[in-house]
Amino acid sequence: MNRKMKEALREAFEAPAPAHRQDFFENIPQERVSLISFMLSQAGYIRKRVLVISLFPVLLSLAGACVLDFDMLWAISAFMPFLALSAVTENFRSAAYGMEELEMSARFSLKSVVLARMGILGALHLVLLCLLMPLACIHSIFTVMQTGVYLMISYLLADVTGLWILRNLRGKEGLYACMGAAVCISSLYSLLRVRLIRLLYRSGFAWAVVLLVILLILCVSETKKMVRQTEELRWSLS
Amino acid sequence: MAMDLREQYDKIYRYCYFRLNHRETAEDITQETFLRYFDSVCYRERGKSLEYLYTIARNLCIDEFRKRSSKQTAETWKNAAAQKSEVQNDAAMQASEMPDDADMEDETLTRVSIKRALRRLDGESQELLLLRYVNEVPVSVICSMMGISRFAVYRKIKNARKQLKEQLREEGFE
Repeated sequence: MNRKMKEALREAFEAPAPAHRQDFFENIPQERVSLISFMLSQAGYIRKRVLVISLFPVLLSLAGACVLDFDMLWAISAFMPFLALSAVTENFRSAAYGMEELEMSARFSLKSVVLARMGILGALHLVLLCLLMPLACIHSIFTVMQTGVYLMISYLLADVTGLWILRNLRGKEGLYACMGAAVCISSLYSLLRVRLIRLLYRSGFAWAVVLLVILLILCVSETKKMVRQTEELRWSLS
Repeated sequence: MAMDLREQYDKIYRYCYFRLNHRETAEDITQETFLRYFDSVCYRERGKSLEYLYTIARNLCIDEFRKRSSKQTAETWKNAAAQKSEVQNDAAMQASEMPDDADMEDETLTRVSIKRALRRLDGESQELLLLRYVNEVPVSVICSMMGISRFAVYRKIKNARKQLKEQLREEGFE
């Protein structure tokens, strides 16, 4: 069929212009995304170095357990605050680089993005902790449970402090303060390790568990406050 | 398959208008087609978007036509006919207002003759010509939409073209 004929056919079948096309496309429903695909899409935005840092304590414990035949628990526990720091700062990336407003106008709310990334990193670190617990206690005087509590206290202490700092200090200053806090906690853990070990090993495991529970409660509370703060920011910016 | 949704909206609307001959209903059906299409993410991900869109539109038009034939009052039909004649009158007015140019006159005559020739074809032939040459729907999509083989689609399109040519010849066109 030639072009002229096609043109003539097009004109013959011409319909009156649709009246509500623009309105329809302005209010077009968004494509629904399943939770798994949303989480996977967010995992792609986590910086690779955060994942590499996460592997470091595992390598350290493997080296201590298999190659050096040496108690590396103190080194691993001293590294845990930096692991927490990497997770906390990753969640505040948009705030640190002043990109909150842009992220808030994006398809997914900042709150859901931050929660998704926190969930991914939290789950990853939990898996790592489960791997570290048996490895770190090979040459240690602690049992697997005691090792877990020892490492968790170090991690959560840095986590709670980091979240509190980033809630109160905006921008890059918050990141620097967070880094300082992680260094302090790590140094404190290294310096006081003999006393901490004595506390945990001799004075009773119960106190350590109580401390862990307190830190867990504080961590949940700080996370809630952080989420609320994200919502408040959204309202004040819209 | 990445589709320009706005372009497809116009094409689906044109198809619905051809089937229903009523502007508001055609637009309602078009929007309903797109809403149903957006509702079924899993189907789109399998990559047969265009087939799916046209199948929904076709089925909705058939449903609407059935509903209409059972409920339609003479008045509504009268209104539709009045609307159509209004559109035709507008077209005639536009044609009469055009500059007195021989080429323009020829074009208008051709358009009117093609419309008249098309009206004499059966519904299926008209539908096939619209889908294939106006909306430029691929043959594979027409096949699955109408539930017939590729060979049958080619044969039917060929017949439709032949009939159209015969009608145009009767109108005095070569």
